[in-house]
Amino acid sequence: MNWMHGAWAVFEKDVRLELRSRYAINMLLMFVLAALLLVLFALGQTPVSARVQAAVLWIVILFSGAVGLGRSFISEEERGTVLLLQLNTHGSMVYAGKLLFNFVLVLVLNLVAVAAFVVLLSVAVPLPGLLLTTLGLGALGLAGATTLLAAIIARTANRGPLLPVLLFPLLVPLLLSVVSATRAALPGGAGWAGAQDELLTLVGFAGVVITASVLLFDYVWND
Amino acid sequence: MKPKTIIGLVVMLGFAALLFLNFGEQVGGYMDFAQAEATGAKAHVVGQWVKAEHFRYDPAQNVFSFYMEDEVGQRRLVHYDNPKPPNFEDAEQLVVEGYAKEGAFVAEHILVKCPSKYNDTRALETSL
Repeated sequence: MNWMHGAWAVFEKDVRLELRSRYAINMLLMFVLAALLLVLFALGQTPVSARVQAAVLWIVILFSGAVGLGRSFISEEERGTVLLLQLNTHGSMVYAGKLLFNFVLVLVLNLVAVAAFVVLLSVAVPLPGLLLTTLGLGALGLAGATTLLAAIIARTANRGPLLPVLLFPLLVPLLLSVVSATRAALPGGAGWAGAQDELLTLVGFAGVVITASVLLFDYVWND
Repeated sequence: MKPKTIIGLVVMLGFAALLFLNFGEQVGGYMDFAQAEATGAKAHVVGQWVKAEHFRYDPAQNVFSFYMEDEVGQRRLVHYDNPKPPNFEDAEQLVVEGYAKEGAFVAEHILVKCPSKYNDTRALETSL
């Protein structure tokens, strides 16, 4: 109960800070809109296969996520509030709070990206349930992988470009599965039966990344 | 070791097994058309192009459709979301990778097996 309370307090603090500065939200929205508009102008009337549509969607989500998600721990370092958190809370509460915040952020980002994608590129989605499940599981895996890495790179000198570099190799299984599962939800796709393996892979990926992070976070967090 | 570490490692192993087993399954095994239709999952089907049946490429949809007969003689319409692969006419064997849908087969990749121009036994015999 106490633990839940602490994690929720960290989450609530991050949400409040985000709503005041709107740093991450503005950056993510700008990135999603700019990238999708670019795709839209570049394609014009050219028909694009569903596989390419799925890949474009996840390229946009991945890059905007890689840019915006590193903020969670870097901002603590910049404001000098790390010591305060270390003194007042336990590492696992900080991790859980930040993970929840990043998850919510990625989920919002995913929903905005998909809504913009469906409207701007006029994509038909015959299986919205499958697409939403894929987005949720993808967000969980992305947030899980990013949170630990963000905590690691917050301590380094070159904070900015390091997160994408470390993140991409780790995300390869997630990206392959998520694009394939999104493809299955679009017209002419394999549907639920065809996306079963992909969805289970996503559950496995999120599980591995989050359990590994829970085990390793104390070593990163405590000097 | 602390109990937290042990539980964590066990949970991680479980998820890792789930990840790797299903990541491998995504490619799909080799089967014939009937089996692919029964499972609905990703599959590789080996067969030959039925040249007697019609085939066509729809440029607006970017779909190439043709009939293929698998190794046990079942004939299905195959849709492929790309133009006709090069060397398609020369192929002695095709491997389509995809899934069954509404009586047809949707191929995501086509492997075209062509006779090798370096192992032409007839040419070898005549030259001897």
